[in-house]
Amino acid sequence: VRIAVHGGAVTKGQPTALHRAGDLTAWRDFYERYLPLVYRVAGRMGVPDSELGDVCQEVFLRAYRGMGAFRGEAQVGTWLYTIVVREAARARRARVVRTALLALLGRQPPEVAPDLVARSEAAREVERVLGGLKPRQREVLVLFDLEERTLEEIAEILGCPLETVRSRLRLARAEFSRIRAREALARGGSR
Amino acid sequence: MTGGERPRLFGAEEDRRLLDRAAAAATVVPERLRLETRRALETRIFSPGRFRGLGLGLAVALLGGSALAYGLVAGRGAPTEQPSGPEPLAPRAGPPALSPPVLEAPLPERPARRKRQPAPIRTATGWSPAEAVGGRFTMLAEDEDALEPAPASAEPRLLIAREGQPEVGLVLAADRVVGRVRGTPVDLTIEGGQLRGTLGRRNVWLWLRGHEASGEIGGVPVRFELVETRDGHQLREGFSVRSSLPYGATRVETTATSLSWSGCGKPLGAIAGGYGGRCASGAESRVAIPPRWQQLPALPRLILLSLFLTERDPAMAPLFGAGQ
Repeated sequence: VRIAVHGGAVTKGQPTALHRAGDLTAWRDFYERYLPLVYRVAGRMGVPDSELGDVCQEVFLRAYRGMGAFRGEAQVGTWLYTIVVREAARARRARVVRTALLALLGRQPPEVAPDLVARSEAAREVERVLGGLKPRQREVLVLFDLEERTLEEIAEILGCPLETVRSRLRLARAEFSRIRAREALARGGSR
Repeated sequence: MTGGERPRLFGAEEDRRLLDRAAAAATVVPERLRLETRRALETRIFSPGRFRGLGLGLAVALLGGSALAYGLVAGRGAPTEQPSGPEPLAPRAGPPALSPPVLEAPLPERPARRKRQPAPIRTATGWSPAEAVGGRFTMLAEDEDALEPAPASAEPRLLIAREGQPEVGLVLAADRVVGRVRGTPVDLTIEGGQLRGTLGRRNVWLWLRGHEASGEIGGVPVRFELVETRDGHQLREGFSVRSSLPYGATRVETTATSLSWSGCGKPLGAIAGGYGGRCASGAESRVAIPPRWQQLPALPRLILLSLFLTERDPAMAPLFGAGQ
């Protein structure tokens, strides 16, 4: 069972037109439908704006290449979430290595371009607080509280036991509250 | 706590509200990112990749090799149709320790299909640029109808004239070199750090990296190294790793005042528009190098010269001469 594309909706079913090499229309349907999800989740996972294009590209490339192996046991969304989370983690590791190398060479990391993407004030604040979480806690919090995935789905996406997801979520929420309280205290003190 | 229960409350109610507002915010993908990413992906996914071609060539070579090994097809002596993919090395003629490895004997040329080609333009030296395109890089295009038109004959030409040997004339148009060497059509392109194309029906595929070039010619691994000498450049066969080219077979050296290569034995002096003089054998030789050639990077320039100047070397000769 593979994915089939019918008028932009991706469902489980017959062997896909998308997977046939050269089917550009089906491919574009898939891309246009899922780009907002991939873009949003990658951003929430901490991928900076300057790298979002590259990460989206890698996610879709992996999705396309993995399409033949997709067994249809999971929802398409869950499967894509798995790829996005992995790619975001890979991008984060590459960033850490790059920063460490630059520090070793005594150079400053390049200036990050100003955030040109319009986001709501709430989204910006959440993003700032999420930046203070450990990556694994951030993944769980984003998937559960922002993306509204179920705990079972998150366990499948992250490839870890359900209990681990629960534990990480509990810690992530506690840390989220702590960071916000600390920020509020700092703001109060500066006034 | 399961997904179905969705425990939404944690910490302060304020945190919850903040997260809800952030979750409800619409995602707007920047138009530029959407288009650029899509374009890049479609290029990566739908363009016929060189690796796909390489894989195909490799598969053909493996299948052919296996068939030979199991005696499914006749070996030497019985003429059989051979695949057009990369070919393995031919067995050495002499004692293995003494004779250099030799590239496999050339395949017979396919009769050219000319239904869409313009009438041949005969140049002074008797070769036609239109005829020169005997087959584009076979990993990319098998169909000769899909060939790009050959460049016009007004393009700058490399001429190699040696006493007692047919003249070699090659056209450099943009980054493409076409012509005939000993009757073998040559079509090579320099782009994206690669020198690729065909010599007759053999694929040429060389990666150019800094002062090194490595790849395959007719399925045989080759490697070149460019060495900067005091007043010029010298091209050597790769000696740091295994290469099928024997030592000294393709050595070419240029300076501001001379050109020398292994087959000549004596440097040719600089003359107007190139180099000329007598080789060690006493044969008069002249190499006309147009300014356009001199603008090429040293590594591909010397590799091209090496291929065309040493075409009679025992290691290189089987690549050429199909038309002789």
